Amino acid sequence: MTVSVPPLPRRARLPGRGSLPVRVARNPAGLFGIFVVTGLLVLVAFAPQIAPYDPAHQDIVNRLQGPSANHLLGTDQLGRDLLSRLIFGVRIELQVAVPATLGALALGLLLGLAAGYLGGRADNALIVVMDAIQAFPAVILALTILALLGPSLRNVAIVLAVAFAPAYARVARALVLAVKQNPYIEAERSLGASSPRIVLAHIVPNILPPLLTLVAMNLPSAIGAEAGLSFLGLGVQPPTPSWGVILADGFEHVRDAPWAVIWTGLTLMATTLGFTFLGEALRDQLDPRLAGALH
Amino acid sequence: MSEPLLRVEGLEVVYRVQGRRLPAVSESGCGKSTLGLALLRLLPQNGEIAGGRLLFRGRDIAALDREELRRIRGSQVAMIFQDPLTSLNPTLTVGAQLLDALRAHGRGAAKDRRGRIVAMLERVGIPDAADRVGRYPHELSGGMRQRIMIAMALLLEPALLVADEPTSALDVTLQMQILELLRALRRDRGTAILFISHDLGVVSEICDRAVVMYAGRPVEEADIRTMFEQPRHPYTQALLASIPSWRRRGEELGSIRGRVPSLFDLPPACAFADRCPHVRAVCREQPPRYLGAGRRVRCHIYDSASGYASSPPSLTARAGLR
Amino acid sequence: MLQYLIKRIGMAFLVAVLLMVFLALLVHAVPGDPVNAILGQRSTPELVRTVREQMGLDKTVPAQVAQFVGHAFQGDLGHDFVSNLPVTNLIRNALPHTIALAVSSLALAILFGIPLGVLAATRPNGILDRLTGVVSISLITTPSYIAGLYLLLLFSLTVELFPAVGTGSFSHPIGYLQHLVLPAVALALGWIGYFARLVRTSMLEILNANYIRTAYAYGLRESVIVYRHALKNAIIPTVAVLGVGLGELMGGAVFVEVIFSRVGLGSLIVESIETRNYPVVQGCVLTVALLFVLANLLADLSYRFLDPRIRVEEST
Repeated sequence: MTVSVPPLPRRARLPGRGSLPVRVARNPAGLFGIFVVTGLLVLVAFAPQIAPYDPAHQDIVNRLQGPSANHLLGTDQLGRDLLSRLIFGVRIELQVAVPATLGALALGLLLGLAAGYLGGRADNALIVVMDAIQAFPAVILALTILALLGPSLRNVAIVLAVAFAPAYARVARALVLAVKQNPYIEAERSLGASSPRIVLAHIVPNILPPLLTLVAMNLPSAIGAEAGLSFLGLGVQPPTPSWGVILADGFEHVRDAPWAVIWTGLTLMATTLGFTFLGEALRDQLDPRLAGALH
Repeated sequence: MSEPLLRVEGLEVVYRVQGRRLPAVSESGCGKSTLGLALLRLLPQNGEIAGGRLLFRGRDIAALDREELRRIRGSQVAMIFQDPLTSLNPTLTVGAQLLDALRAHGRGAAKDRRGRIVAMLERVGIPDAADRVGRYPHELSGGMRQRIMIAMALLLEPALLVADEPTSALDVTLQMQILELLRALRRDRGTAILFISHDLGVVSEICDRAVVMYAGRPVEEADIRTMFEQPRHPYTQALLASIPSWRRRGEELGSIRGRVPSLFDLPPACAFADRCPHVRAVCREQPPRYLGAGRRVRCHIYDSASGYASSPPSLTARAGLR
Repeated sequence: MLQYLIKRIGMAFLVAVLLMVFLALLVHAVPGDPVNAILGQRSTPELVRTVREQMGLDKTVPAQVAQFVGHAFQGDLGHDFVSNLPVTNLIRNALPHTIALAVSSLALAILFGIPLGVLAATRPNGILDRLTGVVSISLITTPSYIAGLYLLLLFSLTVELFPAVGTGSFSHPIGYLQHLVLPAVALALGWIGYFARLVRTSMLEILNANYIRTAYAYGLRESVIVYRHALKNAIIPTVAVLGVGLGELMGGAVFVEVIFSRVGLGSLIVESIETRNYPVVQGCVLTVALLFVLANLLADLSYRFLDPRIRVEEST
């Protein structure tokens, strides 16, 4: 029989058997995520062994070449091997993205704890300030601060941490408010536990796991933002082989040698997609409530 | 009329819940609402008709194609839903929703439709109908919304009206008004009404025949008078004993011990066995047959072949049901 | 409703003032002498004097903030260090092109994203749904500059369908539109994916609502049910994010404007950062943020217009 009422929105969930990696890998998107992220980690660890050339090695005679047996992805305007530069670039991406997201987490956690735990005026003030900061699109906010700090790898990480922090603060605040409702917090307080003790021993451990899933979801945004800022020439500076720098170099010569733009774009897309899929699969397994919290 | 308007033949609906198939029984009900939904093929996605047939004017409802089904819905068989607040669209005015129903079946000339809607709203007792058509459901009271639902059902003049607990959310005065409306409808237009209710008092007010359902199955069927005066199935007897009546003033009200069995483990034979005061060994071994024609009952007590070895319990046995 | 409107506009105003304070304070948040932060290596004694004077850096910090906010409200955002033109002039020239870009992207996102989401929701878990699922997520995760670069490569360098660079002029509408197509699509792609996901989710929820069952029970045609009865409800959460969406589009516009060499706020910001022209950066950023606040206000109001339930809550 056919029923005209459309079905329940809930996705059929696989029975929760197996360890976490197994459960994540059971979903094709999750598997793709694991594949991409593991691949990137291998590249980070063994870049010198895997990369065919030194990323800084110039070979002016063979500049702006298309893919060939010698240079699988071709060369850039200084004859540097694109594949090697992309491989070493993973290190740069993570050097920016990891501190940026962890910094945002730390900053957001601090603000969110303060707002959620103290409540009242502190909470209201923080929300208004957060609203004002979030009125800047993240890219614009990052650009503004970079205009003053000047472009560099470290500054990009700082700027992204600041730009992403309000989102973490919001989620942290909401989680604190939820945890605070629990009777055991009340019980602790009536037993005379100090506020810092309650916050550290009970609230932080409770709200950290969901926030860490947000970190996983936020990493690709950080990578994308870094590459974007560096592409504009306002982030990581050449000759450091950040993907954004490679992209900017490629864009200069896009009419004669589109290869750099094409490969870097694909690498970036696969990376962000991989991290996103992994993050979503992890979230589905760990904390379905967070669906869509960070976007 | 040789062909009855509606025939239900051993209908079996199952719901898949976490991979298991459950007989159709909603929260507190015994499959009453499910029957109504099955009739319009509106079962939720995890439910399906697993056996038996539903014949409307002799045609199997399950065999209709999409367009045939669409034409029957509303215009031949209309349903009044239980919860008018969630059953009306919050972002469309009630007038727009009624208008869509008329339009779907091409009823009335475009310019007459509004007048028709206002007239119907007046008929179901909505004051200021011309103003109310432009209102959103949440701007009306609960009783008013229920009357909007009823107006929608009546607007298309269906041959069969399925009313799923249409009065359970209303206060007594309104309840009476609406029952009166339904009675008038049946009298004036000959509309057949399938009235789904857990309230025997209301049922006795409006129905000619009644089917008592227990754990997803009909257990007794009779005309309303017979059902009330000579209930046969122990469950029906217990039900009747539990409603207050002026005839039995001073008597203690009956209640049925135990609760409706969990659908995950229905008793293997008679579903009522665990709660029945007349239970015998056979009741737990063999499912009772649904016997009789017109006056039917599903109980071993009345099945001479089942080996139930005592005379049928009389009405006075009610008191012992507590 | 009026009371709500006043309250909401008051909030927007407060946020706007805070934005200005934030921008005025930002130069002090950077370690070291603000003049050095602003000018970097371009610093000459003459420029240093100009900067100190124009931004009132010799005064106390609160006085500087008050000066900046006061001037901003009078429409004075300072002068360009390089050309000494008023910043507002630069912004006035750039803004229409950025708005044209953002609005046409948003229109594309709505035009394609919403039907895609509806299509996916009406046959959940079907081939089309799975396909749009993969496509949407890919679109969402693709940065706008990658989309822009690929579109540029494909449609103006390889297939020479659209002009690669430039903005065109409003006096030649057809040429202007031709210049607008690729940048707008580049910016819209991610939002098409995002809207498709959003609409699919809310649509699936709403198609299970009792009132949709009612619509089926009364024999309404599927197209009427989906597009009239369900979509009107499903679109409400999408409208709620439109404001945020416009802000993010302005962010993405920076890349797209640079890639396609368009005149606009984004390319103006990047250019001014490169030339260390801080008043221009400040002015552009303030404009973008104010537009964002305005867009949020409008989204919020239309949200209320779409959902009659909220209208009543406000009035009672």
